[in-house]
Amino acid sequence: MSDHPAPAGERAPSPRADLLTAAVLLAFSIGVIVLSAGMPTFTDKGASLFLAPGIVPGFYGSVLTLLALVLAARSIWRGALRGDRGAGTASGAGDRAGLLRLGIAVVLCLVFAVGLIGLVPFWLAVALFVTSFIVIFEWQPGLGASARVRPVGTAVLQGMIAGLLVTYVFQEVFFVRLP
Amino acid sequence: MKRIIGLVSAAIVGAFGATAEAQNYTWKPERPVTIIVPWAAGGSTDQMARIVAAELEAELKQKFVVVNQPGASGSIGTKNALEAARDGYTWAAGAAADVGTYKVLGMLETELKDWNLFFAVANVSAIAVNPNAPYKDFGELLEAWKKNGENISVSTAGLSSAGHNLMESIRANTPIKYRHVTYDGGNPAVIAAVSGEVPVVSQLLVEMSEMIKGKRLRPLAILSDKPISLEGHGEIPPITKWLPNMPAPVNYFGIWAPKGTPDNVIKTMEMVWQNKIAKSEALQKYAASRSALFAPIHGQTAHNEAFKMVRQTAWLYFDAGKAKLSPDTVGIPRL
Amino acid sequence: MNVFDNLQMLGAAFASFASPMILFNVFWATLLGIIIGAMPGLTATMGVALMTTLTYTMAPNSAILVLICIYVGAIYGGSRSAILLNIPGTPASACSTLDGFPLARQGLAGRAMGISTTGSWLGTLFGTMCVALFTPVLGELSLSFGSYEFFWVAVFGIVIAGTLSGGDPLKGYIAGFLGLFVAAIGQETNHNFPRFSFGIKDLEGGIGLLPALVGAFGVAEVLQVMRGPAFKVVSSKVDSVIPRLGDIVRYWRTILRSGAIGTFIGIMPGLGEDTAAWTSYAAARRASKEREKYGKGSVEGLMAAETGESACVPGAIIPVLTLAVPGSAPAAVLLAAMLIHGLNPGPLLMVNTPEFLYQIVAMLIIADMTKLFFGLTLVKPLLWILLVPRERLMPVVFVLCTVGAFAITSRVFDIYVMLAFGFVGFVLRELKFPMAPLILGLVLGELLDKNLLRGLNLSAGDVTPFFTRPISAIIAAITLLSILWSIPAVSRRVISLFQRA
Repeated sequence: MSDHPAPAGERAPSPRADLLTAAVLLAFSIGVIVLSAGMPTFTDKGASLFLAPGIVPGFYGSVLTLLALVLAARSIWRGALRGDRGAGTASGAGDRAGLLRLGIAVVLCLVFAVGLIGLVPFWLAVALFVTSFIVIFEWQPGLGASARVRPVGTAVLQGMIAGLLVTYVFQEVFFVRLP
Repeated sequence: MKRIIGLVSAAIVGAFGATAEAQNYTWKPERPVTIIVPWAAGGSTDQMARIVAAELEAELKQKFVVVNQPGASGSIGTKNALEAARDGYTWAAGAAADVGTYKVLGMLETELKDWNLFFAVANVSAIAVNPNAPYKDFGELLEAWKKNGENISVSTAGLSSAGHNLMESIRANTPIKYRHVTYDGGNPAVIAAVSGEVPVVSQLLVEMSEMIKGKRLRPLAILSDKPISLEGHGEIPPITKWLPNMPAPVNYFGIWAPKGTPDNVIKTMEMVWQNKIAKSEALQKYAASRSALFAPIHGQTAHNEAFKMVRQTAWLYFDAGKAKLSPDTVGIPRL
Repeated sequence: MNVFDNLQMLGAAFASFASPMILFNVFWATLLGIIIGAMPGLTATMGVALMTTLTYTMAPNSAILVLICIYVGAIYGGSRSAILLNIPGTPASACSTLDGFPLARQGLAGRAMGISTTGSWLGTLFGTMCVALFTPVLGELSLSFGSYEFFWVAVFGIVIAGTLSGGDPLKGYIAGFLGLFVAAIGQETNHNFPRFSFGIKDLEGGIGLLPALVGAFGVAEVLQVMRGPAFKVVSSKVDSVIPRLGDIVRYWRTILRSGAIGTFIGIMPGLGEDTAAWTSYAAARRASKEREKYGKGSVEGLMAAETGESACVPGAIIPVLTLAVPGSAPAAVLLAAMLIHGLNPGPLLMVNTPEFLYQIVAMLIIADMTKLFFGLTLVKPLLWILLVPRERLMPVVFVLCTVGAFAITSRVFDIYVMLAFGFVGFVLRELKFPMAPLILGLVLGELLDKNLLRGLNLSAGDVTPFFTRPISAIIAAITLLSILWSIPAVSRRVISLFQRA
């Protein structure tokens, strides 16, 4: 929930970001309306008009359009179009490191969920993912080889344990099929 | 009810059930077997599948896991069973009329004959009304439908549900109109008639039996050519009393695996069906208490019996303009 | 039948469960239920369904007792992960993240779990009392809710979701309608027309609630945590594990209100624990004197959510007993289990086997007490989770999310749904869109869609029944007032009007 104090996203998005969001939302909701309007009504087969599949999503699309316009108006009123105040604060070094971590996390998750699963046995996929996740994020540059043994070793251990335990518990105890 | 079910079941068992006693099954599953129920947990297919799973488990000494994969009128789960490895470890459950008509509806490339069928119970459809509704018997309701049917709401579990199929086959037989109101399942459809939101419900008798016994619903007719007597209520007349030319096939529920599944798996399952399922007290008790018919049949017999319902249903869809292709073209002649 | 008879039957029911074997079953089943609930992706519905097969050979009463323990345990267990990780273990506990997680971040995880335990315990107890006292009457109540009423219930849910997000009602409404839109994807019921599926078979079945939930909360949370700077390990005080009597005394009104709302929502078919939690939370917030604390770690808010969702469990069983109509998804499986075991709930239950009702009451009380026991003893070991550094915790959480999304229907498609909701959810969070209305929209979308069209169909296109049927009219009025109230200009004027007077 966005209500709890999030470490990085503490500041509210800038009016300009809101305006951009509103634009994307507007395009999306108009798309929804167009697609809804294009749905068949089945009236030719004797169905009544108010059972047409497009009515409800069309209604959602219309409301979203309205809300997007309100959001756009509000962001402009709050100064989205003014050059100075509309832009967000320049991202500092801490934020850049955060974005890097985010990027790595996204890539790792995608490699695991889309690539590894189904390619190798599930326990191995989990072990590889967990181990590499830990090793990459705990990596501190400039350490000697001997200082790396412990963190890498425990990472491999945790990966193996997680892989085997998750596989065992879900397959044997809960009879859940694993990917 | 019990007596009649007993008689019918005995006839079915007598006709089709051999008495092989061999216990040396050639297929011994090494890991848990999955039964995909393409409907939500708790529904009539789910209940049947769980009892069958437990019986199979006891006989084959291996877990049979029921997985619910609801969505798109059961076609998603069925598709997954069709696409799974054909090693006997993935089965689908459901109603024969559904799996036999997916192709006609353009929902899924499959036919009844693509499957090794193992049925457990058969269900009859029924029409019932709210106790305060003015229709005393089915004849009166039929007259009302003919006169101003477009104002008489009938609840069913949705398109291509047993109840909707019954209504459509009545309409194919005699010129009536009705206002079709769909609900999320058999139970909600029945409740709508009990609460009076609609005057008439058309669904499986299974889903109405408790309400009928509790005098919250008045049954008018069942889709059958013989009457059924229900404990605590009395006899429910067959629909053929008013519409003598109406075909009255029953809908079989069971489990199936696609053709191409190894022979030893199918042979083993056939033996289990004869040794265990045909004698299953749990299934018999379940069928009797839910006013369903106990029908432990399999193989070609099962196909032939179920094909009647498929023929009727497929042509109903076609006549109503809901089919994507003519049943003729996929080898389903008119009933 | 007099009171004495009833008490005697209740006593007999308790006595029948007083054997070591049965109590052993109660213990492992409740614990298993809590674990199932705490795992993101394993739901109460799935747990009960799983155990239906596994308890098939047991005597009917023992089997039903195990299932009720699983049900009660799982609904409670979901808030463990909601409080500790900000990831709801079941859809029911999504609301507990709102105040539970902030409390944990403030070093009060022990207290939060204590509050949730008390709230949940009292909620189930309250609901069980309703089962014992009012089952015949309350069961009938669910019949007075038809399509028109359920439409308004859904609209009302969306409206309160928008206003309850705390920060920005506008973004709350947008998130809510996005959720509604997602719920519209897939085949609709009247013509089986696949909406927005673009020929993809898996999309025709619609977007599953669970993969979406696991994505929007679990995956988005993993990404958000990894993006932020390393958070300081929060050492939680363990001294406050035992819930304070003061909390109960201070919030007795909230507890009673949430219990009543939860039970009532439980009785309604089609509404489940998730809606119960949200509604209790919204009602508590509206009535609260400390509204500004909500969403930032309000004891009262957490208590309301927990009491509501747990009171829903017995509530959902009421129509199962009287009408054979389940009040929630896990209750539907419970009903199936009863039918499989040859117990025939329904209108004749009170006539034929009135003792069965009291056995259910006894089962609920036993399960609730066992839940309390585990709730209090499990807190300390669970607090260890907070001491694990994120680099080591988050990959495991992501693995559990993946398994959870896949577990329900065993479809790889659901993993993609989870990823999509994770990434979109993350972006929306960054833009300060609340996730709660999105999920509530997804939950209520089907209800709204179907009942609107069904109502129009029943009345042949006439909209008046939506406003003239008594219960419809009441909910419609409340909804309208809620919308007006959420517009600051209106509420300010109304308040000043009263102040002047």
